[in-house]
Order: sequence, then C-alpha cells, then structure tokens
Amino acid sequence: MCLDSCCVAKGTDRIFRALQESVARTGAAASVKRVGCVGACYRTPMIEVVTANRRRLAYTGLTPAQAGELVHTEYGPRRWARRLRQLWTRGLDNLLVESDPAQPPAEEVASPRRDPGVAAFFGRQVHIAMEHYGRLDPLDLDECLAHDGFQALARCLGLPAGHLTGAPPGEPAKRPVPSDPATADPRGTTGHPVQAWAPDQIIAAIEQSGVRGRGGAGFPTGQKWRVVCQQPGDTRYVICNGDEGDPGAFMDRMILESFPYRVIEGLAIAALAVGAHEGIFYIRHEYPNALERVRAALAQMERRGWLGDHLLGSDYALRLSIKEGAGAFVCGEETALIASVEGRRGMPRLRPPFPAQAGLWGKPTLINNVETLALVPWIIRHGAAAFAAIGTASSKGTKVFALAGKIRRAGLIEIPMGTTLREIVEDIGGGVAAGRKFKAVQIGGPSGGCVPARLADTPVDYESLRDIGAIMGSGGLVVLDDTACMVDIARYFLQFTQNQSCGKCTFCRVGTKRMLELLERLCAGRAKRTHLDELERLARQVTQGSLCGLGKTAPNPVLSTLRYFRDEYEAHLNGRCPAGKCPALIRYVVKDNCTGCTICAQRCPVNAIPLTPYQRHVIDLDLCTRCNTCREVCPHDAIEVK
Amino acid sequence: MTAPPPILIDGRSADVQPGETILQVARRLGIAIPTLCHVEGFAPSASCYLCAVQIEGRPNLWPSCAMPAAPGMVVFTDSDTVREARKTALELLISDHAGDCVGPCRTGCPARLDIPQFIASIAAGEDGKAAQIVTDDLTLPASLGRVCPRLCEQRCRQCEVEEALSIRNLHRFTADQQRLAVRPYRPTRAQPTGKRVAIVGAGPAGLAAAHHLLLRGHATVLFDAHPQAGGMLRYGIPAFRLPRGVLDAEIRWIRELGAEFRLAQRLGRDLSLDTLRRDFDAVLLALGAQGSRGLDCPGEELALPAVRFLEQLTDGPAPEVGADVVVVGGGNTAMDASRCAVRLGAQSVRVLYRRTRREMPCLMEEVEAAEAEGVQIEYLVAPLRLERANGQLRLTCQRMELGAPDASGRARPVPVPGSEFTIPASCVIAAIGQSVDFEAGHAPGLNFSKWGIAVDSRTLATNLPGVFAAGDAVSGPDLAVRAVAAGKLAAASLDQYLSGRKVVGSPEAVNVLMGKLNEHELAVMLREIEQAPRAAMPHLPLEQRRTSFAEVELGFTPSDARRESRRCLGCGCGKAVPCRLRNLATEYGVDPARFVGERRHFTRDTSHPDIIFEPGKCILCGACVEVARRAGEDVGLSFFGRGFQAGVAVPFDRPMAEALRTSAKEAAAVCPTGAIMLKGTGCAGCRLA
Ligand SMILES: Cc1cc2nc3c(=O)[nH]c(=O)nc-3n(C[C@H](O)[C@H](O)[C@H](O)COP(=O)(O)OP(=O)(O)OC[C@H]3O[C@@H](n4cnc5c(N)ncnc54)[C@H](O)[C@@H]3O)c2cc1C
Ligand SMILES: Cc1cc2nc3c(=O)[nH]c(=O)nc-3n(C[C@H](O)[C@H](O)[C@H](O)COP(=O)(O)O)c2cc1C
Ligand code: SF4
Ligand code: SF4
Ligand code: SF4
Ligand code: FES
Repeated sequence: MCLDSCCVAKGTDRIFRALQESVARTGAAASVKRVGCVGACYRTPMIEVVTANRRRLAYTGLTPAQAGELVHTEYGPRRWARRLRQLWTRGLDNLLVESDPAQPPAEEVASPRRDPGVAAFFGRQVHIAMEHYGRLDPLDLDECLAHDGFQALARCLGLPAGHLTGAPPGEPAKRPVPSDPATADPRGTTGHPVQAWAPDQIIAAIEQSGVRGRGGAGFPTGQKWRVVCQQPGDTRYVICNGDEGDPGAFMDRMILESFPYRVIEGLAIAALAVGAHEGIFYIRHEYPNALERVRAALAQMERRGWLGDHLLGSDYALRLSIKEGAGAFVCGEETALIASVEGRRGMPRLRPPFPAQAGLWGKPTLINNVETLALVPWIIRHGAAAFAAIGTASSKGTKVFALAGKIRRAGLIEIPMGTTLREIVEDIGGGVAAGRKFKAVQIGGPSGGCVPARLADTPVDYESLRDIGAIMGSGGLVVLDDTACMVDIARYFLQFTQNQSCGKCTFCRVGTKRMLELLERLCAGRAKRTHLDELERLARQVTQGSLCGLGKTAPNPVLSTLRYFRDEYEAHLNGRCPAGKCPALIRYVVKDNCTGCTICAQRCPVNAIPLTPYQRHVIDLDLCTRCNTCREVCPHDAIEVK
Repeated sequence: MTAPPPILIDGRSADVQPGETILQVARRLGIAIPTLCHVEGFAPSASCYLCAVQIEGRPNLWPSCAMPAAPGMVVFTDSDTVREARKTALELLISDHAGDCVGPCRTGCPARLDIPQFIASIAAGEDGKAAQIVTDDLTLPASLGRVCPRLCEQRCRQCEVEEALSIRNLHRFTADQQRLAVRPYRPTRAQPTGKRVAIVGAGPAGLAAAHHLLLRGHATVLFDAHPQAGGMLRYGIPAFRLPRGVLDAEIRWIRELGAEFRLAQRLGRDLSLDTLRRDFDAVLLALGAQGSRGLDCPGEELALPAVRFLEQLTDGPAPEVGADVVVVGGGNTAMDASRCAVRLGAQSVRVLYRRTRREMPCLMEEVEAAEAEGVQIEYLVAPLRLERANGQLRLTCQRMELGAPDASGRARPVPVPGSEFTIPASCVIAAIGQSVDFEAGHAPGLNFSKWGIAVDSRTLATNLPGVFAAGDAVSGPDLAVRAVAAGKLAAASLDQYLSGRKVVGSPEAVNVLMGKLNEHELAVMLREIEQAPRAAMPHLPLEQRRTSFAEVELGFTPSDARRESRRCLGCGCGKAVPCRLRNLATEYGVDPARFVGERRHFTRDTSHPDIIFEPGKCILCGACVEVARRAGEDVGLSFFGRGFQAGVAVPFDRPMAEALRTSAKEAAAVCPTGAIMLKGTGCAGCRLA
C-alpha cells in the first residue's frame, strides 16, 4: 500500500494501520508493506494484495473498517470472502475517487492487465524515473539495492557490485543482495575492482543520452554539468531542486517520497561528475513527508558509512544535507533558491552570471531538478543509447506528468517524449466525461499555456510545445472540457503567479496585478475593447521586462488563451461567457420540465429559490450567487445556465 | 591574439573592461540611460527596469545596470520598444503610488499657486514668506483673492473631512497685508535683455505676462483701448466685489516693476499688428472677450448689453435703469448686473434664466448674495421678443423644460408650448454672454478658432511668428485666474522665443494624485492637524449693501487667517522636486491614469527623529535595505510579503528609530522617491519637522 502524501490525504495511513492491526489480531499469514507511488491517483486508496499463490489483486476505495475485513477475505477462511465481497460491492461504488462512471463498480481490479481501464492507463507509460513503481518500500535500502539501487554510482566510483552488500556497522548482516542477471552489466557483476569512470566519461554519457532538465527550462543536462566541471577553483556545489511550487504538480514530491535513494544516487553521480563534495537537497517546507523520507534515507546511508568521507565506501568525499524551502514558488528559481540557501530572502537576480559560473557562496553550482537526477542512474546503468532511443529527435527519454482536470483517469504518469497530447488525454486519461467535449489542455502550470483540442496531436517535446505557445514546464497537465471558461482559466493561473511574485520587478509585481485586474474586469463583463488591447500589450511587456522566469512566463496563460480562444475574450466584451462560468455574465433559469420536487429550493445556500411544491420553481436572480448547486442537485436537468 | 571585438551601444563602439555592466560602458560613452533602483557602488538590484535595453540577437529587454557587457554585443538604449517599456514601467509604478506629488489644491489652481507652502507659512507666522510665494506665483493676488471662483478649493482634501480650506481668502489676506505694508515684497528683476514686447490688452492676461516678462529682464509696453488698465476686472466686475483701490494698487505695482502703459490705443484703429511686429521683438495679443452676445430674438437691440452697462458704471455717469429691471442670463455677469441694478435704486430686479439653478454657470454664493439683496430669479424662462410701447419695454417670454443634455453636458431647455407671458420693464439688460470682438480684419493673416484667436495650446504661439495670444481672446469668455495663468505661460514662451531657444511653453511635471482617500488614510493625514470648521468671511451688513458700492466681503483678521491656515493638511510630497520617479515620468510623458486599479494605502511614519517614511511610495528598489546593511544596523530594513503586497519594512515591527540608528539620512538620500525623506524638507516635511 502506498503511503505517499497524496495517498495519505485519501486516508491510506488509516487503512494501513487497520491492516496492520488486523493482521496482528488475526495472526493471518500476511505482511503489510508500504510501497512507492503507483501513479493511478484516480483509484486511491488502493491496495495491492499478493496472495499465497502469488496472484496479484488490486483493491480500491477501501475504508479502514473494510480494510480489516480484507485480511479475512484474502487470508482468512474462504467462506468469509464471498460474504464480504458482496458487502463491499454495494458500498464501494460511491467511494471511488473520480471514478469512471462508464466502468462497472468494481472493488477488485483483478490484474492491471485484465482491467481495460488500468491497462490503458499504464499501457503507454514507460517508467524510468518511476522504475519499479509500486513495488518497493521507499526506505528499505536493501530492497533498493536488490533492485539495482546504487549500481550506477558504484560503477562510476569503480566499486565492484558485491561491495554494496555490506551491512551497516554494528548491525547484523542482512540477506545478500541477489544480482539480477537481466539488467546488470557484466562489468559490474564480476566482483573484482573495476576502473572508476572519469568525470568526463560520466558527462559524456549524460550528454549522449540527450537528457534535458526536467525543472522547466529544458536546458541540456550534460552541457550544464560540463560548464560546472570546467569552472576554475576547487569548491563547487550540487543542489537538488525539490521546491516544486506549481499548483497541481506533485511529480517531484512523489519521486522524493517513493524513490529517495534514486535521487540521492543521481545527485551523487552529478557531484562526482562536476567534482563537488557538497550536495544540498532543497525541498519545500510544505512537503514534510518528502523531507522525512529523504532525511531517513540519508540516515540509513550514513549508518552504513556511505556518506561523508567515503561515498559508498569509496575514497570520494560527499556530504549531503537538506535545506527546507522558504515556501514560495519563486524559491524554485535557481538564483532565488541560492539566495534562500544562503539565508537571504528568496529573490532572484539577473543571470548571467549563471549559477554554474557563480552560484552558492559565489562558487560554481550545479542545480538540477529532482526528476532530472532520478533519470541519471538509469542512464548510467542502461547506457546513453538506451535512453536516447526513447523520445524524439530533440527530446529524449521520458517525462512525468501530473495528469489532472476533467478526465476519467487522473494520476501521475511517466510517458516517453513524443507521445501526443491526444494519446495522453484519450488513451491514458480515458478522455473527458461522457457528454462533454475535450476543449484544451493547460500544460506547464502557471508558466505554461493552453493548447486547444485541435492541436492535440502535438507531440510532447520541448520544441513542439514551445512552438504552439506552451511549455513542457515541470509537468502539470490539466485537461479542460467545454465547461471551462478560458478567460477564467487565464485569470486563475495569473492570480497564482501574481501572488507568488517576489515583488521585486516592476512589471512582475504591478504589471501582473494590472493584468489580473483587466481579466477580472473581463470576467465581470465590465471590459471594453481598449481593455483587451491593453491586456495584450501589457502581457508582452511583462514578458519582456521581468528579471526571472516567473515574471517572464507569467503572461503565458493569457497570451496562449488570447491566441487560441480570442473569441471567448471577445464574447466577454459583449457580456457573454460562452462556457457559462463567469458568475457576473450568467443566469440560472428553471426550464419547463421542472416537476416541483423542491430539492433545489431546499439546497440553495442563499434561499434564492422559493419553495413551491409541484409547481415550476423560479430563481430569484438578485439573490442567486451562481453557485451552481441547484443545477447539480436537480434530478430532472431542469436548470440551465444562460 | 586579436583584440576582442568592441561592444556597440547605439552605434558607438567601446572596449569592454572585465566586470563592467552595459550601464557603465554607456555612461563612459556619455549615453544617458535612466535608472531608478541603481545606486553607484551597490550590487545591482535590477528591479525597476528603467535601465532596460535591447540586445541584438536576444529576446526580451535586459536591465543594463546588472547586465555584464560582453564583447561583440550590439545594444540599443533608446529604441521605441525600450522607450515604450520604460514608460509602461513608470506608469505601473505610479499606478501603485500612494502619495500626492503636489497638493491637489495646487493642481486645481490654473496658475499653480504653491498653496500648501504659503498656507504653511501663514500658519508658522511667516507672513513675509507667504507674501513672496503668493506674489511670485500669481499676478493680481489681491484682486483674484476677491473674484476668483476658487477652483483650488474644490479639490481641497479637507472637503473629505469638513469644508475646504478658505484658500482664496487666505491669499487675499496675504496680498492685502502686502498692499498695505510699508515695505512690500519686491522681486528682483533679471538683467535687462534689451528685448521689447508689445502687449495689446492690459487685462489680467496682459498684466500677468508683463509681470513675468519684466522679471526675466524684457521691456514691456501695454497697449489698451480703454482709458484705464485692468480689463474686465475694471470694466466688468463691480466695485462692491473688487474695490478699484485694490486693483489700482496692483496695477501700480506692475508699473513700478517697469511696465509702460499706452492707454486709449485700440488695435485696428490706432495701431496695426504689422507696425507692432516691426517695432517690437514680439507681440502678445491679450484682447479679452469684450463683445456682447444679443438676446437673439426680435427687438434685441432694445436691450442694454450687460458689459456696456457695467462699463458705464465704472467710466461714465451712472446709467438710468428705472424701477423694473429685467436681466436675461444666468452667469456671473447676470448676477453682477442685477446686483448693480439693486444698488442703482431699482424697485424690482428680476433675473430670467432658461435653465434651473443647478445649471447656473456661476458661483452659488453670488446667487445667494444677489437673492439676499432682493434680486428675484426666475428659472426655465426664455425671451421670445422685446417691444417698446408707450416708453415701456415689454418682454414676451416662454416657459421651458429640461430635455436631453447638450454638447456642454447640461440639460437642454426646450420650450413648453402655449406658455407665453409678457412682463413690463423699464430696462432690459442682456447678460447672455461675451464674445471675442476682434476679427481677421484687424489682423490680416492671423488664424482664428471657434472661440477666438487660434494658438498652439502648449506654447500659446499663433500662426504668425513672434505673435502670441493669451486669455479670453483665445478661450472666449472665461475666468480671470485662467487669464493670469495664460499670461504667465505666454511670458515663458515669449522668453524662450526672445532668447532664441526652442519654444516649448512651460511643460509641467507629472503629478501623481491619490484621489479620494479611505478613512484610514484620512486619519493618517488628520493626525497632524487641529480639526476646526472653516473660518467664515465677515460681510458688510445687508442694509449698507443695497445702497452702496462698498466692498461686501471684508477680509480675514490675522487671527482668522492663522486659525484657518492650521486646518491645512499639507498635502504634497516633501521630495517632489528631486524625486526621480516623478522626473522620469515627466521626461517619458507618462499618463498617470493609464492603469487604474488597487493601490497601496497611504501611511506615514514620523516616529524617526530625522526622516519620514511613507511606504506607499516605495518602489522596492532595496537601496535603503542595503544602506542599513552596510551601516551595520542591528535591526535594519527588510523586504516582506509577496506579489502585489510586497514591501519594505522594519523587521519584527520595531520602531523606525531602531531600524536606522545611524543611516537614516543616507537612506533618505538613496531613496529615489519620497518614500524616505528628510524631515524639514518640502511642504509636508516643513510642518511635520
Ligand atoms: C461681469 C463680469 C464678471 C466677471 N466675474 C468674474 C469673476 O468673478 N471671477 C473671474 O475669475 N472672472 C470673472 N470674469 C471674467 C474675467 O474678468 C475675464 O476672464 C478676464 O478679465 C479675462 O482677462 P483678459 O486679460 O483675457 O481679458 P480682459 O480682461 O477682457 O482684458 C482685455 C483688454 O484688452 C483691451 N482690448 C480689447 N480689444 C482691444 C483692442 N483692439 N486694442 C487694444 N486693446 C484692446 C480691453 O480694453 C481690455 O482691457 C467676469 C467677467 C465679467 C464680464
Ligand atoms: C519561478 C520559477 C520556479 C521554479 N521552480 C522550480 C521547481 O520548483 N523545481 C525545479 O526543479 N525547478 C524550478 N525552476 C527551474 C529552476 O530555475 C532551474 O532551471 C531548474 O531547477 C534546473 O534544473 P534542471 O536543469 O534539471 O531542470 C523554477 C524556475 C522558475 C523561474
Ligand atoms: S520576475 Fe517577478 S519573481 Fe522574478 S525577480 Fe522579478 S519580481 Fe521577482
Ligand atoms: S488641505 Fe491644504 S494642501 Fe491639502 S488640498 Fe487643502 S489646501 Fe491644499
Ligand atoms: S523606501 Fe527603500 S526600497 Fe523603497 S524606494 Fe525608497 S530606498 Fe527603495
Ligand atoms: S533595473 Fe536597472 S536601474 Fe532599475
């Protein structure tokens, strides 16, 4: 069972405890294991059950009470099972999170392969950053080692593979790490000391793999490593950027929580490549679970003496520490991040000089994103060519996205570059709800753009997305259906960036505020054409006149919606919101087919609908706050938005 | 090795020293790039974006104060994109600027009298300083102190609390003190330039121009068709509002300054524009709007034009008006004419106005004064025809009602059918309006507009080289204070013309105004003053008013003036003059109203002994934060908040005096705006010091 933050938010921790208690109480021949993220958030809470005969079953939508019973079902006397299974079938349907209405209510997903939804969800994914997802206990170092953990680092350090089986001093030796002939490189399995990789060899591998930064900008990672490596002086730093501040994005949190050792390994390899002896995990304060896991993982490694003067027991010194983020979106920007690590307010400065030239304490500093680093061990283990074989000409490998919005199957997905947006939305995500139309995807978070459905065949790669006015960003992907008002969407994202600006630049602090006010004016139906022109002019100037990426990209949601959905802006000028979203521009009316059931009248939070049993109800538009409750509760679809 | 290629800035090349920014190289080349947040010697803040430049081959704009110069770069510091961006940056900063550059009152005064400053001087008992300000900024301050409709007071911030300050009466008080002083203030004149200007028309516009030209060292000769100078102030406005002694003294003061008067000389009859242009270095036409508009109905020639009537009162035997006087019109002239008729002994004085009281184009207190003196005003009445029968005049009128607004925005009166009626009168005075009675025939080649002489509104230059025009002659009938302001502007343009400089008029600095304050902001301002009601103006008793032309408003006593002056909130910024934000805004021609939206609140921290901190004016340049840090202040200043709410404050709510123990003065010096200013500077400062 996954105990990452988002699953915990859906109650998996309570279910986990209930399972543990139940196993203890019944003495069932079962163990309850915490694993990393599976990515199928739309099915959380989910439990995978491995039965005695190695059959794998997945259960979703459990409550703690039902969890206890599950132990009886699968590991108890058989006759319990049938009874309980029937019991759940009734209750579970409405517990399913964002469940797929088209699919029969099933409490049990027999095997991922056999459930068509699950099969489609996972079918197109390729897991590199999320390799072994949903199988390993995130903090079990031995299990990690058993699954290729730290092999890449060991190889770079020139350590024989057997080297990694050493137990922590003072602790009894654990079971030996079985080597996996399928993935292991012959050079690593010989058990004899092998030649350590030169920094240049590591960098070359990263360069050849074609991997580019997953933090948003997509700068070629190998090139960045080389710049840092080539700087004069002895002191350099490596920093793992785990500040992840985009609303709705939680890829990095998941990777840190589920695969902490993988990120540590990636950071260590980076340190080795650029010659750094100090590394910092910068993780945002709002991720206590991620902080906790990374801290615990570092502690585990320290216990084995694998950090500090002897990285993985080698002669290479690497000290790793954690810095809690200051809790602002802009602190993820690398120069602000450095200021924050140095104990100053997280405010960006002009680049050049780049951190690679003059970063932390003025020294060359390599900053990479969590996901970028998580890809590194795989690249080293499987070779640059294997990585470069995935993806498109300019964008290699895979990218993790947080797929969300008006879609049947939401979750964390890792897809090969070059997958089209349509494949993501329709195949992986299962499309939008029945009766709705797929309208656009908002990709790249608040710095990203809105891509209309007609451009959904665009492949996900850095250049293609840039060309259509969006960005890869750090991996937010929100699917919008025809109920979304694009002006409102632009307003929503701009509101976020406006609040998160460090406040330094004139354009970013005041310019985005004025843009936001213009959008609010549009949404309220109080805008004139001159306001629309002003919005566009200002958006371009904010892009031109901001210091850091936040300000430079803040207008993107506005510019891209203006580019593809100008007609909606025009409609707002004429006092109309085509999607029926902007409260000031819409009215709720009861149609003739109202049966007078009074449900809407009872549920209206502001009593705008007088109770008139058996008669057509009427909404008092002066009182109505456009909260949409009546429309949602009406059993006869008798309320429409005009 | 070949030398690295130089950097090209605006087409000029320079070598790049290691570590130099684009700004430094540009300054070395003498290329001016504006900056706000940059402080020489400090690490670049790069926040304001005023120093933005374009770099070839790169998207976006780059802050030159922080951008390292690199060989081979091609930089543009003054392209349209750059200028547009700078202008927008300034407009954005100003849209969130919680402060007034100058008091709203001052921006309301067409002549831009420095109101807060002279009032502060009165409050401080420095009458001499007050006189100096009033005399320098205004011409005819005592006369205007009686007749001006007080445009300034409408904008006075005290209106939001109580009633406006009695600004006009205060400058009347100061000017009267001067007039009666043994040794009045006399400004120093510049060295004579040898240039001579002919000013045609010795009304307020001509007199103001003469005043300011004389100060600049130019000789002036004023020509006027009337036997005495003063224009409408003498021949229009009655003596009970403006005693002739006051006007005479003010004209004498200008004569003593060096003006030469040639009276009873009419342009077009005794003089020609051509001769003036030949004999003088420049000419100013300040001829006023001396013509009268008729009743525009049959028999209009039987009515007496109000201007003629008022002129006779000044210049000739008092006209016979008889017992029943009817005045047609609703403006100041109608009020003056009717009040004069009362004083001439008419039994009944009726004013007929075609709209309602709300639409009357004159000060309500004039209407009230007229009514108090017995004038009856009838609204929504218009004349249809005027006839004479048996030595009696009969005026047939029609009732009106208000229809849709006309071009002036006022409701248009429309006749009510069948509502005609006739009234008898001994005299009908037409006070419908004045017009410019100077046409092309008198000045061949001169262009005219719909209202009068056509000019460039910025400089007041006419289409004829060396000929300028000002006052009612340009605008049509207007106000004395606008004529004074126009005369002052014409003097500035004439001075530029005479000295061979580019004629630009007197471009005004951009003024940020806070508009209406919320109650907290008002409370901050009120903290500094004593609250009191507006001082009342003592009046001549009514019995005496009806029978004499003696002045009605008697003027403030010194203690009235002192008390009234202490009500002033001292609006305006103590750093308005050196403020770099304002200077750049002026240079870039910003529109302070381009962006309207939420703005920070006005607050003021006066707790520090040396400085005033007004955080609503901060542009977040960080200079003060850095000054405090360098000075090793324990508490210092720091940034707080995110987004629009970001600002600079003393950490942990400590008092400002603790934050800046040793570096306050330096912080005030580096602060580019009035967010941190020294006490004792400027108007707000001087009173708060
Ligand atoms: C009855 C009345 C009451 C008013 N009350 C007020 C008031 O209360 N407050 C206020 O602010 N304003 C008032 N005004 C308006 C104000 O007086 C004028 O706006 C102001 O005087 C205009 O100044 P000016 O110098 O442009 O012209 P004027 O004052 O009209 O002066 C023009 C001068 O040019 C001379 N002139 C004209 N033609 C020739 C020529 N061809 N050759 C030589 N000389 C010539 C005239 O003799 C006159 O002296 C009032 C006006 C009138 C008529
Ligand atoms: C406003 C802003 C926020 C950012 N936030 C993050 C973040 O949360 N995580 C991250 O890895 N990169 C973030 N970045 C990008 C970093 O500045 C930097 O490019 C990245 O960490 C480099 O790593 P990469 O090359 O592996 O992508 C942000 C950039 C900007 C402008
Ligand atoms: S662009 Fe915005 S967030 Fe970035 S430095 Fe400028 S003000 Fe700060
Ligand atoms: S309070 Fe004083 S400074 Fe402010 S507007 Fe009124 S007169 Fe001017
Ligand atoms: S108060 Fe400080 S940060 Fe604000 S404008 Fe003045 S010097 Fe700059
Ligand atoms: S950004 Fe360069 S002076 Fe402000």
